[in-house]
Amino acid sequence: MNISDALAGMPQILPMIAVIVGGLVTMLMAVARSHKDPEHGQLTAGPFVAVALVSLVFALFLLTQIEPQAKAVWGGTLAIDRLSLVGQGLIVVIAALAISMGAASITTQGIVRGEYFALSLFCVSGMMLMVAATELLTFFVGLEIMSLAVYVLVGFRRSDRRSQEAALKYFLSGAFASAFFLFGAAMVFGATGTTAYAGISTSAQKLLSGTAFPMQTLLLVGATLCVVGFAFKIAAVPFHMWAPDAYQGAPTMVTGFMAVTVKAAAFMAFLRFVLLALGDGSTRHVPWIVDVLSLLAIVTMTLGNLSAVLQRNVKRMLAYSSIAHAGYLLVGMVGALERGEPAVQGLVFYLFVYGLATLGAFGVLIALERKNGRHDEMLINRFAGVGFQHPALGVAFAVFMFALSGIPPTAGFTGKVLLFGPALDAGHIGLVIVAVLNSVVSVYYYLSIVVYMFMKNPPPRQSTEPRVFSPWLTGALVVTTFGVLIVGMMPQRWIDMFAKLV
Amino acid sequence: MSESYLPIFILFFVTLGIGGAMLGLAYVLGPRKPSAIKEMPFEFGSPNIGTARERFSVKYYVTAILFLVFDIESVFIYPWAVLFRELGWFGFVEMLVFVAFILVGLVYVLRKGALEWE
Amino acid sequence: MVPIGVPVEHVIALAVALFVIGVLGVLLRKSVIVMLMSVELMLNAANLLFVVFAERWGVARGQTISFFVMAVAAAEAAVGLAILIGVFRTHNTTDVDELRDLLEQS
Repeated sequence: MNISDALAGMPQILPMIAVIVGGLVTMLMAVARSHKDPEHGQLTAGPFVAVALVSLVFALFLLTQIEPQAKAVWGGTLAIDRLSLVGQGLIVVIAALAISMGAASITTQGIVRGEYFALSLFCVSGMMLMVAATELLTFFVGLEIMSLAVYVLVGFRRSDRRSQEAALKYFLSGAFASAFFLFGAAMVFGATGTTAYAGISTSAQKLLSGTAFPMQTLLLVGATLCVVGFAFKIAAVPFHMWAPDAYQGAPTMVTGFMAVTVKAAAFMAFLRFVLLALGDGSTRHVPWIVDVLSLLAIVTMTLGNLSAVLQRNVKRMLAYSSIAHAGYLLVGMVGALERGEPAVQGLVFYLFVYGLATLGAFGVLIALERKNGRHDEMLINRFAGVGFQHPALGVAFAVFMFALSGIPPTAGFTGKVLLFGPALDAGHIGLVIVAVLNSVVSVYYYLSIVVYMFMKNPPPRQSTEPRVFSPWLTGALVVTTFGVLIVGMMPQRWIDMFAKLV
Repeated sequence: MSESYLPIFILFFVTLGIGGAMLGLAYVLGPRKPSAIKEMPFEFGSPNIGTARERFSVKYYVTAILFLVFDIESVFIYPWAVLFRELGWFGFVEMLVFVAFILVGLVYVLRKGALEWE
Repeated sequence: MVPIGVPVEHVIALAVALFVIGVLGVLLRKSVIVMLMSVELMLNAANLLFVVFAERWGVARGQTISFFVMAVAAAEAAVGLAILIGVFRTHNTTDVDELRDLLEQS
């Protein structure tokens, strides 16, 4: 590659560069004032949020300027097809909302560090790379950029035992999963001689139609290990053990961020891998992958929902709910393997809706946290009477819970119809029945919080510490609440946005 | 099949032989007059203070982590230096970007005070 | 480079053995430091596999990947040790079995 090729390819990676530059700037801003000067140590979140949002909005603008094309760029490592561009845009939008919400917590909870913004932005750049990658190494580098930043974010409360424990557990299982993926990638490389998805697909077709014993086995074992790595990242049962601990122990702002963006990035990268490396868009080279994914989906939804019912800690409950949603999304993945285009559209649309609703729910949790309440445990009885004391927060939370359980007129209903439809179309009736039954179970625990909020009296003794408040948080909550409602009531425009992804 | 391992075995035994010979010859040939001072572990010539099994300051870990991160960058810089001419201006600019990243990291570390001992 | 002629299968077997040792280390050991070392072993097993397959296919891709993996492994070790220091400060232990603040409350 020479310098003119590089310049020609520059516009396609400019969005990522914009995010990385934003990360570097916030990183330097965090240490701009000397650490020896304690009275200037109090950082205000404003400038950080401004820089972060400017870089994210600019990245979004740049993404809209790129003309989608089917051919991968940068020597076949990065896709700039619609799935890549829309996926990156989705991550950027959700991250912007999550970072705005985090701004409220940055000056409370004993966290006054600007590194939160730098790490979040680096994390976003890694996710963008993951979503765009059409090659195993590029994906792996993106995955690690994302993961390493998230591990640190989870352990962001340095003096909090739970935060540290969560970070360590997440780190260990995450690194373990990455190693699985990498070993699988090495085997796939050994069987096919390439790491590009297109090349893998071509050789896989040849290998699997023949009976070349050692290479075929190598490819299948390698692909399985890669799938295990992906399953870890999307928190599919039985590779989900890290999720409840990491979600509960992480600072709430980080939980919201990772629950949504990490899952979205991992799912879109998984989708690309399964569709384009283990198939060629319309056909599948590995026939039993559908059965494997169906089984994973059933186990994941069922276990996620049943465990969520038992939880008393709302953060942990939402963690299991996010596991259950990984199961629903896997149903969409099965549909995508069988039907292609409309199912991919439904899957990404659902990721968008799930993102808005989950992020909103965590935003409400942030708003309910006490200032300096370091060891806040979000137990369900904390929610008693909140609906009367803070009607706006209560209503917003109810909207998010309705959306997550898939009750109309919220976007959750439309999303589930689009998600399960293609799988039903393709004849996976049992799978869809399990998914719908699970949605019914989930209504129980989602609405139990709403019941606490509006039908129980608040506890007599309450902390007088002021609650977290910030205009950024309020803004992000308004956007997510109305987003869930507007997308639910006027879905067509939004669904069209996700059309023709593959 | 087994002769393909011959180079590895030769390397293995030569290494083992050199190491063994050094220790063995010193043991056989060297005069040995043990005394309390000679039995002490050698630590740059000065008398020992305490045992080696105490806890080390956490500052060493910070330094070690920073060393690890900056050290591994040479993995990329060395092959680049070897192929400098073939890579041309593109390689040069790419390495400048890479070094700029490290520089930002270094500025951050310095400002954070991670390299100050006290 | 002069090929030394060790059969590819043997190197694959070595890589798989290293990987399995790493997996068992993570699953069975309780000390976080040993678990971290086991993860590094798994990454190095993958590296070995990449290099030997690069040799077999005659493409440089596998060799370059191993550089990236080394850098990633170093970054991972740095973050892991930093997290470990944080845990040690709050819990005074590096034994994963003693970390039980986050448990099911039901």
